Amino acid sequence: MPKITKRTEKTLDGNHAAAEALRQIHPDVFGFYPITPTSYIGEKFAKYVADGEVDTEYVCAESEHAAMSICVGASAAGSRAVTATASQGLILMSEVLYNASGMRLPIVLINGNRSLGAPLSIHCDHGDAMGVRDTGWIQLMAENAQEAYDFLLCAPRIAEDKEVRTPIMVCMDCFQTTHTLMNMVIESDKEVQKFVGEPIVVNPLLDIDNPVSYGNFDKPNFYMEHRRSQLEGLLNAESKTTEVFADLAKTFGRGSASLLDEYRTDEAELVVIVMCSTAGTLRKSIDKLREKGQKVGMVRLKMFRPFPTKTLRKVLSAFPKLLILDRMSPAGATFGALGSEISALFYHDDTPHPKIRNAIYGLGSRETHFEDFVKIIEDFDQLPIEPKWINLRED
Amino acid sequence: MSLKVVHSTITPETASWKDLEKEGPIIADTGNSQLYGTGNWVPKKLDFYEENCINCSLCWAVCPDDAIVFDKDGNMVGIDTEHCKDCGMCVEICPANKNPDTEKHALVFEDDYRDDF
Repeated sequence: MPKITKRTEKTLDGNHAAAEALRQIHPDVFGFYPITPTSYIGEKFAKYVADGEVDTEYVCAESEHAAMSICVGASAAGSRAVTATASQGLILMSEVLYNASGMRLPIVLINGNRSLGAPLSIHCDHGDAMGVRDTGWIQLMAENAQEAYDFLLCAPRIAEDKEVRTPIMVCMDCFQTTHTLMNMVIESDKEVQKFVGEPIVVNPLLDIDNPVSYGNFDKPNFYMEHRRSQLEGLLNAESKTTEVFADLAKTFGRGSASLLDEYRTDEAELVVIVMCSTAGTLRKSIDKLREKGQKVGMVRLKMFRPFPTKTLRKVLSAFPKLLILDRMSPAGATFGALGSEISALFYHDDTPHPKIRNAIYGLGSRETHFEDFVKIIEDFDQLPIEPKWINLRED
Repeated sequence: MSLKVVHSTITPETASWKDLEKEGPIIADTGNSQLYGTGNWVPKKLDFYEENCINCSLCWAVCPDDAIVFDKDGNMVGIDTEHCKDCGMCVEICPANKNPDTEKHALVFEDDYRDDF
Protein backbone atom coordinates (compact mmCIF):
# COMPACT_ATOMS: atom_id res chain seq x y z
CA MET A 1 0.00 0.00 0.00
CA PRO A 2 1.45 3.38 -0.90
CA LYS A 3 1.93 6.05 1.70
CA ILE A 4 -1.27 7.24 3.31
CA THR A 5 -1.47 11.00 3.53
CA LYS A 6 -4.91 11.33 5.08
CA ARG A 7 -7.24 9.33 7.28
CA THR A 8 -8.69 6.64 5.00
CA GLU A 9 -11.45 4.06 5.30
CA LYS A 10 -10.32 0.69 3.98
CA THR A 11 -11.48 -2.90 3.86
CA LEU A 12 -8.66 -4.92 5.39
CA ASP A 13 -8.12 -8.12 7.32
CA GLY A 14 -6.25 -8.25 10.61
CA ASN A 15 -2.93 -9.23 9.05
CA HIS A 16 -3.02 -6.44 6.50
CA ALA A 17 -4.05 -3.95 9.18
CA ALA A 18 -1.15 -5.08 11.36
CA ALA A 19 1.28 -4.81 8.43
CA GLU A 20 -0.01 -1.29 7.78
CA ALA A 21 0.47 -0.36 11.44
CA LEU A 22 4.02 -1.70 11.32
CA ARG A 23 4.78 0.20 8.12
CA GLN A 24 3.58 3.39 9.75
CA ILE A 25 5.43 2.71 13.02
CA HIS A 26 8.50 2.10 10.85
CA PRO A 27 10.49 -0.17 13.22
CA ASP A 28 14.27 -0.42 12.94
CA VAL A 29 14.36 -4.22 12.89
CA PHE A 30 11.82 -6.89 11.94
CA GLY A 31 12.97 -10.42 12.82
CA PHE A 32 10.60 -12.85 11.18
CA TYR A 33 9.84 -16.51 10.61
CA PRO A 34 6.55 -17.32 8.83
CA ILE A 35 3.74 -19.32 10.42
CA THR A 36 0.01 -19.61 9.82
CA PRO A 37 -1.89 -17.35 10.33
CA THR A 38 0.50 -14.40 10.58
CA SER A 39 2.81 -15.19 7.62
CA TYR A 40 1.05 -12.52 5.64
CA ILE A 41 2.25 -9.79 8.00
CA GLY A 42 5.86 -10.71 7.24
CA GLU A 43 5.17 -11.16 3.51
CA LYS A 44 3.48 -7.80 3.26
CA PHE A 45 6.18 -6.10 5.27
CA ALA A 46 8.89 -7.70 3.10
CA LYS A 47 7.18 -6.09 0.11
CA TYR A 48 7.26 -2.71 1.82
CA VAL A 49 10.98 -3.20 2.38
CA ALA A 50 11.56 -4.32 -1.22
CA ASP A 51 9.55 -1.36 -2.55
CA GLY A 52 11.60 1.03 -0.45
CA GLU A 53 8.64 2.25 1.56
CA VAL A 54 10.46 1.48 4.80
CA ASP A 55 14.16 1.13 5.52
CA THR A 56 13.63 -1.40 8.27
CA GLU A 57 16.28 -4.11 8.65
CA TYR A 58 14.16 -7.14 7.72
CA VAL A 59 15.84 -10.33 8.94
CA CYS A 60 14.63 -13.73 7.75
CA ALA A 61 15.26 -16.07 10.66
CA GLU A 62 15.70 -19.85 10.63
CA SER A 63 13.11 -20.37 13.37
CA GLU A 64 10.86 -18.40 15.70
CA HIS A 65 13.41 -18.93 18.47
CA ALA A 66 15.91 -17.15 16.23
CA ALA A 67 13.40 -14.47 15.21
CA MET A 68 12.83 -13.50 18.84
CA SER A 69 16.56 -13.73 19.55
CA ILE A 70 17.15 -11.30 16.68
CA CYS A 71 14.65 -8.94 18.29
CA VAL A 72 16.37 -9.29 21.66
CA GLY A 73 19.76 -8.43 20.16
CA ALA A 74 18.33 -5.60 18.10
CA SER A 75 16.41 -4.14 21.02
CA ALA A 76 19.40 -4.34 23.36
CA ALA A 77 21.47 -2.65 20.66
CA GLY A 78 19.07 0.27 20.87
CA SER A 79 16.55 -0.23 18.09
CA ARG A 80 12.78 -0.60 17.95
CA ALA A 81 12.29 -4.29 17.14
CA VAL A 82 9.11 -6.14 16.13
CA THR A 83 8.06 -9.64 15.12
CA ALA A 84 4.92 -11.62 14.39
CA THR A 85 4.11 -15.24 15.12
CA ALA A 86 1.49 -17.69 16.40
CA SER A 87 0.95 -21.07 18.00
CA GLN A 88 3.98 -23.38 17.78
CA GLY A 89 6.08 -20.36 16.86
CA LEU A 90 5.13 -18.52 20.04
CA ILE A 91 5.81 -21.61 22.13
CA LEU A 92 9.19 -22.11 20.44
CA MET A 93 9.96 -18.48 21.25
CA SER A 94 8.99 -18.88 24.88
CA GLU A 95 12.52 -19.36 26.20
CA VAL A 96 13.56 -16.09 24.59
CA LEU A 97 10.35 -14.36 25.71
CA TYR A 98 11.49 -14.76 29.32
CA ASN A 99 14.89 -13.30 28.44
CA ALA A 100 13.33 -10.34 26.61
CA SER A 101 11.15 -9.42 29.57
CA GLY A 102 13.93 -10.11 32.08
CA MET A 103 16.31 -7.81 30.21
CA ARG A 104 13.48 -5.25 30.00
CA LEU A 105 13.56 -4.96 26.21
CA PRO A 106 10.47 -3.21 24.78
CA ILE A 107 9.92 -5.55 21.82
CA VAL A 108 6.55 -5.59 20.03
CA LEU A 109 5.12 -8.97 19.03
CA ILE A 110 1.95 -9.70 17.08
CA ASN A 111 0.37 -13.05 17.84
CA GLY A 112 -2.43 -14.75 15.92
CA ASN A 113 -4.05 -16.83 18.67
CA ARG A 114 -3.89 -20.35 17.28
CA SER A 115 -4.37 -23.82 18.75
CA LEU A 116 -1.37 -25.96 19.67
CA GLY A 117 -0.39 -29.44 18.51
CA ALA A 118 -0.69 -32.32 18.88
CA PRO A 119 -3.01 -33.02 17.14
CA LEU A 120 -1.84 -30.45 14.62
CA SER A 121 -4.41 -27.71 14.16
CA ILE A 122 -4.14 -24.40 12.39
CA HIS A 123 -7.34 -22.95 13.78
CA CYS A 124 -8.16 -20.54 16.55
CA ASP A 125 -7.99 -20.84 20.28
CA HIS A 126 -6.05 -19.09 23.02
CA GLY A 127 -3.81 -21.98 24.04
CA ASP A 128 -0.66 -20.34 22.70
CA ALA A 129 -1.18 -16.87 24.18
CA MET A 130 -2.29 -18.32 27.53
CA GLY A 131 0.65 -20.72 27.44
CA VAL A 132 3.08 -17.80 27.58
CA ARG A 133 1.05 -15.68 29.98
CA ASP A 134 3.68 -15.94 32.71
CA THR A 135 6.64 -14.89 30.56
CA GLY A 136 6.44 -11.35 31.94
CA TRP A 137 5.11 -9.80 28.72
CA ILE A 138 2.27 -7.32 28.45
CA GLN A 139 -0.63 -8.95 26.60
CA LEU A 140 -3.27 -6.93 24.76
CA MET A 141 -6.18 -8.91 23.35
CA ALA A 142 -7.71 -7.37 20.22
CA GLU A 143 -11.29 -8.07 19.18
CA ASN A 144 -10.99 -7.21 15.50
CA ALA A 145 -8.69 -5.80 12.82
CA GLN A 146 -9.37 -2.19 13.79
CA GLU A 147 -8.51 -2.88 17.40
CA ALA A 148 -5.39 -4.84 16.42
CA TYR A 149 -4.30 -1.82 14.38
CA ASP A 150 -5.06 0.58 17.21
CA PHE A 151 -3.36 -1.58 19.85
CA LEU A 152 -0.26 -1.78 17.66
CA LEU A 153 -0.07 2.00 17.48
CA CYS A 154 -0.22 2.06 21.29
CA ALA A 155 2.18 -0.87 21.82
CA PRO A 156 5.59 0.83 21.39
CA ARG A 157 4.56 3.74 23.60
CA ILE A 158 3.46 1.45 26.41
CA ALA A 159 6.46 -0.89 26.17
CA GLU A 160 9.12 1.80 25.87
CA ASP A 161 7.87 3.94 28.73
CA LYS A 162 10.58 4.54 31.33
CA GLU A 163 8.43 3.15 34.15
CA VAL A 164 7.44 0.08 32.12
CA ARG A 165 10.35 -1.13 29.91
CA THR A 166 8.57 -4.42 29.25
CA PRO A 167 7.92 -6.21 25.94
CA ILE A 168 4.38 -6.27 24.62
CA MET A 169 2.29 -8.82 22.74
CA VAL A 170 -0.73 -7.81 20.67
CA CYS A 171 -2.93 -10.88 20.26
CA MET A 172 -5.69 -11.29 17.68
CA ASP A 173 -7.66 -14.40 16.84
CA CYS A 174 -6.36 -16.72 14.15
CA PHE A 175 -8.41 -16.44 10.91
CA GLN A 176 -11.41 -14.90 12.68
CA THR A 177 -9.43 -11.68 12.94
CA THR A 178 -6.25 -12.23 10.93
CA HIS A 179 -8.07 -13.27 7.74
CA THR A 180 -11.48 -11.64 8.09
CA LEU A 181 -12.07 -8.47 6.14
CA MET A 182 -13.50 -5.50 7.94
CA ASN A 183 -14.22 -1.89 7.12
CA MET A 184 -11.74 0.05 9.18
CA VAL A 185 -9.94 3.33 9.43
CA ILE A 186 -6.24 3.75 8.69
CA GLU A 187 -4.82 6.99 9.99
CA SER A 188 -2.33 9.03 7.99
CA ASP A 189 1.33 8.06 8.25
CA LYS A 190 2.21 11.47 9.62
CA GLU A 191 -0.42 11.38 12.37
CA VAL A 192 0.58 7.85 13.37
CA GLN A 193 4.26 8.74 13.53
CA LYS A 194 3.38 11.76 15.63
CA PHE A 195 1.28 9.56 17.94
CA VAL A 196 3.86 6.78 18.28
CA GLY A 197 6.89 9.04 18.58
CA GLU A 198 10.59 8.33 18.37
CA PRO A 199 11.90 5.16 20.07
CA ILE A 200 12.91 5.66 23.70
CA VAL A 201 16.22 3.85 24.01
CA VAL A 202 17.85 3.14 27.36
CA ASN A 203 21.46 1.98 27.69
CA PRO A 204 21.94 0.79 24.09
CA LEU A 205 24.71 -1.74 23.45
CA LEU A 206 25.80 0.16 20.34
CA ASP A 207 26.62 3.25 22.39
CA ILE A 208 30.26 2.23 22.49
CA ASP A 209 31.32 5.31 24.44
CA ASN A 210 29.13 4.13 27.32
CA PRO A 211 29.54 0.35 27.41
CA VAL A 212 26.92 -1.72 29.24
CA SER A 213 26.47 -5.42 29.85
CA TYR A 214 23.20 -7.29 29.16
CA GLY A 215 22.17 -10.80 30.15
CA ASN A 216 24.18 -10.94 33.35
CA PHE A 217 24.30 -13.57 36.04
CA ASP A 218 22.53 -13.23 39.38
CA LYS A 219 23.51 -15.10 42.49
CA PRO A 220 20.80 -15.95 45.07
CA ASN A 221 21.47 -12.62 46.80
CA PHE A 222 19.91 -10.61 43.95
CA TYR A 223 17.74 -12.86 41.75
CA MET A 224 14.58 -12.37 43.81
CA GLU A 225 15.01 -8.60 43.96
CA HIS A 226 15.45 -8.42 40.18
CA ARG A 227 12.32 -10.53 39.62
CA ARG A 228 10.32 -8.21 41.87
CA SER A 229 11.75 -5.17 40.14
CA GLN A 230 10.77 -6.65 36.76
CA LEU A 231 7.24 -7.26 38.03
CA GLU A 232 6.95 -3.59 38.96
CA GLY A 233 7.58 -2.61 35.34
CA LEU A 234 4.89 -5.01 34.18
CA LEU A 235 2.41 -3.74 36.78
CA ASN A 236 3.12 -0.13 35.76
CA ALA A 237 1.94 -1.08 32.27
CA GLU A 238 -1.67 -1.04 33.50
CA SER A 239 -1.82 2.68 34.18
CA LYS A 240 0.41 3.47 31.20
CA THR A 241 -1.90 1.51 28.88
CA THR A 242 -4.92 3.41 30.22
CA GLU A 243 -3.06 6.64 29.55
CA VAL A 244 -2.10 5.68 25.98
CA PHE A 245 -5.59 4.31 25.22
CA ALA A 246 -7.01 7.64 26.41
CA ASP A 247 -4.62 9.49 24.11
CA LEU A 248 -5.65 7.21 21.23
CA ALA A 249 -9.32 7.97 21.89
CA LYS A 250 -8.54 11.67 22.05
CA THR A 251 -6.31 11.72 18.97
CA PHE A 252 -8.19 9.38 16.64
CA GLY A 253 -11.62 9.20 18.24
CA ARG A 254 -11.68 5.42 18.66
CA GLY A 255 -11.79 3.15 21.70
CA SER A 256 -11.67 4.28 25.29
CA ALA A 257 -9.19 4.54 28.13
CA SER A 258 -10.77 1.54 29.84
CA LEU A 259 -9.04 -1.84 29.82
CA LEU A 260 -12.50 -3.42 29.79
CA ASP A 261 -15.21 -3.29 27.18
CA GLU A 262 -18.56 -3.47 28.97
CA TYR A 263 -21.69 -4.30 26.99
CA ARG A 264 -25.18 -3.91 28.44
CA THR A 265 -23.98 -4.48 31.99
CA ASP A 266 -26.46 -2.00 33.47
CA GLU A 267 -28.32 -3.78 36.28
CA ALA A 268 -27.05 -7.09 34.95
CA GLU A 269 -27.52 -10.17 37.12
CA LEU A 270 -25.28 -12.32 35.00
CA VAL A 271 -22.20 -11.14 33.20
CA VAL A 272 -20.21 -13.13 30.66
CA ILE A 273 -16.48 -12.53 30.58
CA VAL A 274 -14.61 -13.07 27.36
CA MET A 275 -11.58 -12.03 25.30
CA CYS A 276 -10.99 -11.32 21.61
CA SER A 277 -13.24 -11.95 18.61
CA THR A 278 -15.95 -14.00 20.40
CA ALA A 279 -17.25 -10.74 21.85
CA GLY A 280 -18.97 -10.06 18.50
CA THR A 281 -21.01 -13.27 18.70
CA LEU A 282 -21.72 -12.72 22.37
CA ARG A 283 -23.17 -9.26 21.80
CA LYS A 284 -25.83 -10.91 19.65
CA SER A 285 -26.54 -13.50 22.38
CA ILE A 286 -26.80 -10.74 24.97
CA ASP A 287 -29.18 -8.77 22.73
CA LYS A 288 -31.43 -11.83 22.28
CA LEU A 289 -31.53 -12.48 26.03
CA ARG A 290 -32.16 -8.83 26.82
CA GLU A 291 -35.07 -8.94 24.35
CA LYS A 292 -36.47 -11.78 26.45
CA GLY A 293 -36.11 -9.56 29.51
CA GLN A 294 -33.11 -11.34 31.03
CA LYS A 295 -30.63 -9.06 32.74
CA VAL A 296 -27.38 -10.22 31.18
CA GLY A 297 -24.30 -8.36 30.00
CA MET A 298 -20.78 -8.87 28.81
CA VAL A 299 -17.34 -7.72 29.89
CA ARG A 300 -14.50 -8.12 27.42
CA LEU A 301 -10.91 -7.83 28.59
CA LYS A 302 -8.64 -5.80 26.33
CA MET A 303 -5.64 -6.67 28.47
CA PHE A 304 -4.73 -10.01 30.03
CA ARG A 305 -1.24 -9.23 31.38
CA PRO A 306 -0.81 -7.43 33.65
CA PHE A 307 -4.18 -8.71 34.79
CA PRO A 308 -6.28 -5.59 35.54
CA THR A 309 -7.04 -6.90 39.02
CA LYS A 310 -8.22 -3.75 40.78
CA THR A 311 -10.44 -2.57 37.92
CA LEU A 312 -12.01 -6.00 37.51
CA ARG A 313 -12.60 -6.51 41.23
CA LYS A 314 -14.39 -3.18 41.36
CA VAL A 315 -16.46 -3.74 38.22
CA LEU A 316 -17.31 -7.42 38.61
CA SER A 317 -18.22 -7.43 42.31
CA ALA A 318 -21.43 -5.60 41.34
CA PHE A 319 -22.76 -8.70 39.55
CA PRO A 320 -24.18 -11.76 41.36
CA LYS A 321 -23.31 -14.28 38.63
CA LEU A 322 -20.25 -14.55 36.40
CA LEU A 323 -19.84 -16.89 33.46
CA ILE A 324 -16.22 -16.95 32.34
CA LEU A 325 -15.46 -18.19 28.85
CA ASP A 326 -12.06 -19.75 28.28
CA ARG A 327 -10.80 -20.60 24.84
CA MET A 328 -8.18 -23.08 26.05
CA SER A 329 -8.10 -26.43 27.79
CA PRO A 330 -7.78 -26.04 31.57
CA ALA A 331 -5.09 -28.73 31.23
CA GLY A 332 -5.57 -30.02 34.74
CA ALA A 333 -6.14 -26.67 36.44
CA THR A 334 -9.35 -25.91 38.33
CA PHE A 335 -10.50 -23.53 35.60
CA GLY A 336 -9.10 -22.15 32.36
CA ALA A 337 -6.66 -19.22 32.59
CA LEU A 338 -9.30 -16.50 32.61
CA GLY A 339 -11.56 -18.49 34.95
CA SER A 340 -8.75 -19.01 37.44
CA GLU A 341 -7.73 -15.35 37.37
CA ILE A 342 -11.25 -14.03 37.84
CA SER A 343 -12.04 -16.52 40.62
CA ALA A 344 -8.92 -15.45 42.47
CA LEU A 345 -10.20 -11.85 42.51
CA PHE A 346 -12.93 -12.48 45.03
CA TYR A 347 -11.62 -14.78 47.73
CA HIS A 348 -9.43 -12.32 49.59
CA ASP A 349 -11.81 -11.14 52.30
CA ASP A 350 -15.25 -11.77 53.79
CA THR A 351 -17.24 -9.67 51.33
CA PRO A 352 -19.88 -11.56 49.33
CA HIS A 353 -18.56 -12.89 46.05
CA PRO A 354 -20.36 -13.71 42.82
CA LYS A 355 -21.31 -17.21 41.80
CA ILE A 356 -18.71 -18.26 39.24
CA ARG A 357 -18.95 -20.83 36.48
CA ASN A 358 -16.36 -21.55 33.83
CA ALA A 359 -16.97 -22.75 30.28
CA ILE A 360 -14.52 -23.96 27.67
CA TYR A 361 -15.42 -23.20 24.06
CA GLY A 362 -14.09 -22.98 20.52
CA LEU A 363 -10.91 -25.07 20.86
CA GLY A 364 -9.32 -25.46 17.44
CA SER A 365 -12.12 -23.21 16.15
CA ARG A 366 -14.99 -25.52 17.16
CA GLU A 367 -17.98 -23.57 15.89
CA THR A 368 -19.81 -21.78 18.67
CA HIS A 369 -22.90 -19.92 17.54
CA PHE A 370 -24.78 -17.22 19.37
CA GLU A 371 -27.50 -19.78 20.21
CA ASP A 372 -24.91 -21.89 22.05
CA PHE A 373 -24.04 -18.95 24.27
CA VAL A 374 -27.74 -18.14 24.78
CA LYS A 375 -28.26 -21.75 25.93
CA ILE A 376 -25.35 -21.85 28.36
CA ILE A 377 -26.33 -18.48 29.86
CA GLU A 378 -29.89 -19.73 30.36
CA ASP A 379 -28.56 -22.98 31.88
CA PHE A 380 -26.18 -21.13 34.23
CA ASP A 381 -27.79 -22.39 37.47
CA GLN A 382 -27.56 -26.01 36.32
CA LEU A 383 -23.89 -25.82 35.30
CA PRO A 384 -21.46 -28.08 37.15
CA ILE A 385 -18.66 -26.63 39.26
CA GLU A 386 -16.15 -28.08 36.84
CA PRO A 387 -15.62 -26.23 33.55
CA LYS A 388 -18.38 -26.97 31.06
CA TRP A 389 -17.17 -27.77 27.54
CA ILE A 390 -19.51 -26.09 25.05
CA ASN A 391 -20.37 -28.08 21.90
CA LEU A 392 -18.30 -31.08 22.94
CA ARG A 393 -19.74 -34.42 21.79
CA GLU A 394 -20.21 -36.22 25.08
CA ASP A 395 -22.64 -39.04 24.40
CA MET B 1 15.67 9.76 22.51
CA SER B 2 18.56 7.92 24.08
CA LEU B 3 19.04 7.80 27.81
CA LYS B 4 22.21 6.84 29.58
CA VAL B 5 21.76 5.61 33.11
CA VAL B 6 25.03 5.04 34.93
CA HIS B 7 25.38 3.27 38.24
CA SER B 8 28.97 3.79 39.28
CA THR B 9 28.85 1.94 42.58
CA ILE B 10 28.10 -1.65 43.41
CA THR B 11 24.60 -2.29 44.76
CA PRO B 12 24.96 -3.41 48.38
CA GLU B 13 23.56 -6.80 49.27
CA THR B 14 21.22 -5.14 51.72
CA ALA B 15 19.50 -3.14 48.94
CA SER B 16 15.76 -3.62 48.57
CA TRP B 17 14.28 -4.37 45.16
CA LYS B 18 13.10 -0.76 45.03
CA ASP B 19 16.74 0.40 45.07
CA LEU B 20 17.63 -1.66 41.98
CA GLU B 21 17.98 -0.19 38.52
CA LYS B 22 14.56 0.36 36.96
CA GLU B 23 15.85 -0.59 33.55
CA GLY B 24 16.54 -4.14 34.66
CA PRO B 25 19.52 -6.31 35.54
CA ILE B 26 21.93 -4.41 33.32
CA ILE B 27 25.47 -3.56 34.34
CA ALA B 28 25.69 0.01 33.14
CA ASP B 29 29.29 0.80 33.93
CA THR B 30 32.67 -0.81 33.34
CA GLY B 31 35.60 -2.02 35.42
CA ASN B 32 33.40 -3.37 38.18
CA SER B 33 34.08 -7.09 37.95
CA GLN B 34 36.68 -6.76 40.71
CA LEU B 35 33.89 -5.64 43.02
CA TYR B 36 32.13 -9.00 42.77
CA GLY B 37 33.65 -12.00 44.54
CA THR B 38 33.14 -14.55 41.82
CA GLY B 39 35.85 -17.03 42.80
CA ASN B 40 34.45 -18.30 46.06
CA TRP B 41 32.68 -21.35 44.63
CA VAL B 42 35.66 -23.13 43.07
CA PRO B 43 36.00 -26.82 43.88
CA LYS B 44 39.81 -26.87 44.10
CA LYS B 45 42.38 -24.65 45.74
CA LEU B 46 45.30 -23.34 43.67
CA ASP B 47 48.55 -23.05 45.64
CA PHE B 48 51.38 -20.69 44.70
CA TYR B 49 54.98 -21.56 45.68
CA GLU B 50 56.86 -18.27 45.50
CA GLU B 51 60.29 -19.89 45.88
CA ASN B 52 59.78 -21.84 42.60
CA CYS B 53 58.40 -18.90 40.59
CA ILE B 54 60.72 -17.40 37.94
CA ASN B 55 58.57 -14.24 37.48
CA CYS B 56 58.06 -14.78 33.76
CA SER B 57 54.47 -13.39 33.97
CA LEU B 58 53.16 -15.91 31.43
CA CYS B 59 50.42 -16.81 33.92
CA TRP B 60 49.35 -13.16 33.99
CA ALA B 61 49.20 -13.14 30.18
CA VAL B 62 46.78 -16.08 30.02
CA CYS B 63 44.65 -15.46 33.11
CA PRO B 64 41.10 -14.58 31.95
CA ASP B 65 40.20 -13.11 35.34
CA ASP B 66 43.24 -10.95 36.05
CA ALA B 67 43.69 -13.00 39.22
CA ILE B 68 47.51 -13.06 39.31
CA VAL B 69 48.72 -10.72 42.05
CA PHE B 70 52.02 -8.79 41.83
CA ASP B 71 53.77 -6.59 44.32
CA LYS B 72 54.81 -3.06 43.44
CA ASP B 73 58.17 -4.29 42.10
CA GLY B 74 56.48 -6.59 39.62
CA ASN B 75 57.15 -9.81 41.50
CA MET B 76 54.35 -12.34 41.52
CA VAL B 77 53.11 -12.85 45.05
CA GLY B 78 50.04 -15.01 44.73
CA ILE B 79 46.57 -15.80 43.40
CA ASP B 80 43.50 -13.62 43.92
CA THR B 81 41.22 -16.39 45.17
CA GLU B 82 38.23 -14.05 45.16
CA HIS B 83 38.34 -14.07 41.36
CA CYS B 84 40.27 -17.20 40.31
CA LYS B 85 37.89 -19.70 38.65
CA ASP B 86 40.31 -22.66 38.67
CA CYS B 87 40.52 -22.78 34.87
CA GLY B 88 44.10 -24.05 35.14
CA MET B 89 45.53 -22.10 32.22
CA CYS B 90 48.33 -20.69 34.40
CA VAL B 91 49.14 -24.20 35.63
CA GLU B 92 49.44 -25.37 32.01
CA ILE B 93 51.66 -22.52 30.82
CA CYS B 94 53.93 -22.18 33.87
CA PRO B 95 57.57 -23.01 32.83
CA ALA B 96 58.44 -24.03 36.40
CA ASN B 97 55.68 -26.64 36.22
CA LYS B 98 57.57 -28.35 33.34
CA ASN B 99 60.17 -29.58 35.83
CA PRO B 100 59.87 -33.38 36.29
CA ASP B 101 60.41 -32.78 39.98
CA THR B 102 56.96 -31.77 41.20
CA GLU B 103 58.57 -30.26 44.30
CA LYS B 104 59.85 -27.46 42.03
CA HIS B 105 56.44 -26.53 40.59
CA ALA B 106 55.16 -23.01 41.21
CA LEU B 107 51.40 -23.35 40.61
CA VAL B 108 49.82 -26.51 41.98
CA PHE B 109 46.21 -27.57 42.39
CA GLU B 110 45.39 -29.11 45.71
CA ASP B 111 43.38 -32.29 45.50
CA ASP B 112 39.76 -31.79 44.56
CA TYR B 113 37.79 -31.96 47.81
CA ARG B 114 35.12 -33.90 45.91
CA ASP B 115 37.58 -36.82 45.66
CA ASP B 116 37.02 -37.41 49.39
CA PHE B 117 33.44 -38.48 48.81
